[in-house]
Amino acid sequence: MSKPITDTSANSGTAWFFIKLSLLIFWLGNMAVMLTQVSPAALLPVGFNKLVHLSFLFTTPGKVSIAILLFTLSMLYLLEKSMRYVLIGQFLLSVIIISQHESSGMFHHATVFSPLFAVQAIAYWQSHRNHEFNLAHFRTQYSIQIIAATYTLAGISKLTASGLDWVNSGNYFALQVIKNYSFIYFGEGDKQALSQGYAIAGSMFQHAHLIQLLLAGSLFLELFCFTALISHRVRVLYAIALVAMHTGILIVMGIPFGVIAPVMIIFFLNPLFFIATCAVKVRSFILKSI
Amino acid sequence: MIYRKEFTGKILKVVLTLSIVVWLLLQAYNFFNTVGFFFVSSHSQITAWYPNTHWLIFIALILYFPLTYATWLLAIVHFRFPDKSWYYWPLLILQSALVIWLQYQYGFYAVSAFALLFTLPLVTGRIINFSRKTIHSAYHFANGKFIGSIFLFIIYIILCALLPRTHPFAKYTMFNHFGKETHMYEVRDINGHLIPLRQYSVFFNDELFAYEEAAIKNYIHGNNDTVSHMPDYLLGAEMCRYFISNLKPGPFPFDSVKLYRVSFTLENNKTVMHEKLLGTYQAK
Repeated sequence: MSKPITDTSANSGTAWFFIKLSLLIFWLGNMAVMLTQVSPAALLPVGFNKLVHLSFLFTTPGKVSIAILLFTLSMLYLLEKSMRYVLIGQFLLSVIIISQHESSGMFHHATVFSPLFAVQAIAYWQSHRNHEFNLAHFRTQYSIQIIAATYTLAGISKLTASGLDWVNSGNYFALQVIKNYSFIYFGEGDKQALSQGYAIAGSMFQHAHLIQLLLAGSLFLELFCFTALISHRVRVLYAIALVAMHTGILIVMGIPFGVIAPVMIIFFLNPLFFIATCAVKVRSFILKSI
Repeated sequence: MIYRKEFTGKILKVVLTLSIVVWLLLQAYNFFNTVGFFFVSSHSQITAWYPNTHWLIFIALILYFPLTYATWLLAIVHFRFPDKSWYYWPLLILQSALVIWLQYQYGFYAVSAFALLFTLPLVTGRIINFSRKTIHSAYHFANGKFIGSIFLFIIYIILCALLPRTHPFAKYTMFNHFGKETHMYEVRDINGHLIPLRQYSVFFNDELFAYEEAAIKNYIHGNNDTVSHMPDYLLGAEMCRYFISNLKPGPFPFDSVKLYRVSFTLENNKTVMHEKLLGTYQAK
């Protein structure tokens, strides 16, 4: 019989378990996709692959070994065993797989996984050295810092590349919309996608001021994402705003939620934990009523 | 408990020492392959080969290894100044500044990435293992409500700014600039019908972009940097060949394929599509 959820605070062991569970499912799924896509050849070596060639790891036997390792580390992570070493292993595996994938010319935008495991490892090592260290708080808080940094970096990148004028580039933004839909057309042969792209681009020209406002909003959200570090309440509000932003991108540009958005949802909102606590409360309410 | 602490400390020292040895080997490999001649030549010889080389760069490259080695000695072996941790910091700052400057001048991404990545464990190791006083202050620093809550955020942003395209650091440049023109690749059969990339090929448009970049780089390098771009007909032939050699297993019912560059531009608030034939490939 499963244990009932007694501690419903955001830093409780149960909350951490649900964060780990959600992150693992998502991490394993992404790693599996990247492993199946990646080939031993690195067209444009980037990062780690510039220095060390690990193409042998991406042959069929190599991929099988990586898959076994991924699964083993995931089980240990979920069971909270040897966390300091398991997290370092997860970090290294993520670095190797993502580097090889990016070196093949594919941009899965999964960068955030590696630093997430790295900072969690830092928290566990700190806790091992200092028993007064608040591990329950910092193992999630460190991860939240990395997610906030990712959004802030995206905002800074927009400012450095285009300046504040980025919000006025709505018409050229329409070209990007066409490009994304033509990506589907040239890849899958879906002619409707191209027509949809043209239709959305046309409506963007008609509502230039609205697009300007939305672009300004998203830039503001990204740049000030560090405010999500202030408190749990601010974080929840921020998460809702960011989900709205990603939904807008999905509708307008046809770009589905990538890696960063679900990771942000997991750490900012912890939806599985929220569902579980709601279920417990509903259950106790029903039992009391009876 | 005491035994466990000492044991862990020893393992950490061994791991850090091995890391630094590996790092030095990798750096040596890189340096001697690229700018090894800086160590065996005079400044006048260097300026003859590279006319714009400032003497400061020359000095920096010569100082790079000794500084790294000195930092390693102080951080890992720690036999000279056991109680004076401040001796270590100026060297570390100087080394980091040198690394950043060399990267700025020469773009040694890999070397700089590894230098900084291994410098960080050194600092951590230094803080955690070798000075009780620093341990105390480090934990106070990390446990402080404000600093602890934003420290990694700042560090990650700084590292990403210094080491773009060096995973796990990135500048997150997606949609940071909207160009006046954007292009894609399209494959058609001899009758002009679209061949969906994913139906027959193992890759997406992304890989074609990557291959375009790689092919152009290779062409320019092959011509000893005497050309600035690759002619379209050569690029097209090369990319067609790449497409054909990466087909999915199974039948490919086309005698020949044509590769087009499709660009989108903005004219009078309307998007206009232009197609340009880059190359043709006889499949059978």
